[in-house]
Amino acid sequence: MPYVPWPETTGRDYVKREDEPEYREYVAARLESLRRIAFLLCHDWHAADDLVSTVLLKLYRSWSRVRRADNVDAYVRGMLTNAWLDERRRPWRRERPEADLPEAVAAPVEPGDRGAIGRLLRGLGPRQRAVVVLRFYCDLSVEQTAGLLGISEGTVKSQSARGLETLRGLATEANAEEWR
Amino acid sequence: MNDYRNTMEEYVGTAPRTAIDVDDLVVRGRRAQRGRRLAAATGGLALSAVAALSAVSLLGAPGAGPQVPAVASVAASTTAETPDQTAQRLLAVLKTAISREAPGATGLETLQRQMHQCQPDAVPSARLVPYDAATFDTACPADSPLHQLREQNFDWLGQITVGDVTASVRIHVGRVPVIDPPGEQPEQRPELAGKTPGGEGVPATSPGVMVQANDVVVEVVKPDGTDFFVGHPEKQPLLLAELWQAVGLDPELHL
Repeated sequence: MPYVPWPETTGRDYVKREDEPEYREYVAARLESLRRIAFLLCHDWHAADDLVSTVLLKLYRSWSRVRRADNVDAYVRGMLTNAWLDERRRPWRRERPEADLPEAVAAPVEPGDRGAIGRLLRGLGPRQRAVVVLRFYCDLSVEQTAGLLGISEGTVKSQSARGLETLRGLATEANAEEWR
Repeated sequence: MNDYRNTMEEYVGTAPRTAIDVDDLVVRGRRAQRGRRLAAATGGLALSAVAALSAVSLLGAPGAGPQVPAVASVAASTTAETPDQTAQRLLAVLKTAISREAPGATGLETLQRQMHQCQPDAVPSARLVPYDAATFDTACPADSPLHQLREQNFDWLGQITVGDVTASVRIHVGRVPVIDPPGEQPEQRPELAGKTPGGEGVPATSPGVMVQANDVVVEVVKPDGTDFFVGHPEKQPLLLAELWQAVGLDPELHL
């Protein structure tokens, strides 16, 4: 059976007051992890907090439905990633073409450089960055990642290949340092 | 925890304190929910009126003679347009749609076309400045991404007043940007439209039309790749959201 990340919906979502305590508990428990994921996407804590706030508001609206999802965490991470991708498409994001152009080319990764992972992620295109974060930070499967982002599994595999290769090099370097 | 995650955790480091507050989120969520309920209660009447008007215009008044097919007018209007002509046509369509959806709306004359300031050698970001035909083609190299951006994207700033509400808006009509390999964008795959997790999808009135709205933006993406977007120029909460959604759905509004 294919992975279906979004729960069934029958119309507009309205939050019941009795569901609010559960929402509060969920947000309190997951806030920090969502902020960290958002930071990996945005590379800026202010932008990350804005993104998380936006998504948690959306989550409030759809909580009565989302709480029934098979994997609520995966669904919310999908919401976060899609909200970020959505924001990237806004016209005001296109007002810095010169500043954005360097993102098309990843800077070379130097062994032992702790900031290299940041440069790697910033050097990836938006969807590729989203794939890498969902696959390798959130530990989601190819199938889950494809379902959440609405892309094919083949695209997930191809877009994560380059990131995986570089991450592998970084991880090996980090492990070697631990044994020195 | 896998090695890759360890590496990324190390990069993220210690998160600073956040201003995100659960109580505040709940209050804002309740407020937005009340607003949506009110809009749903009043919007039904407005949509019914729009549907009735649309039906009249499509069917034509009895004895009014043969109607020109909509497709024909679309094809004729977009043939060999220059960017300036496109901008003028789009502005006319916008004004007509705003007046139709919000009779009595004022401030249409404040809608001023903008352009991205072209500074090929400048590091600072491009910003919107009032459109100037005299300089539009001079500073930007023809093969630069910014030149292409300006040829296919049109923006206006203005203040529209409906009743007691005045909305400062940035209206954008342009090509849906391609940020990843073609064919993988949800809006280019109609079967995915409205299924984006967490998306504020609104049931589309036409096949392939995607409508998204939240507190700060209204966006309508059409099957032909036209991206209609309205937001506050300073990214503050957007007023008159129902109006912008109706304007964006106007079939005449397309590149």
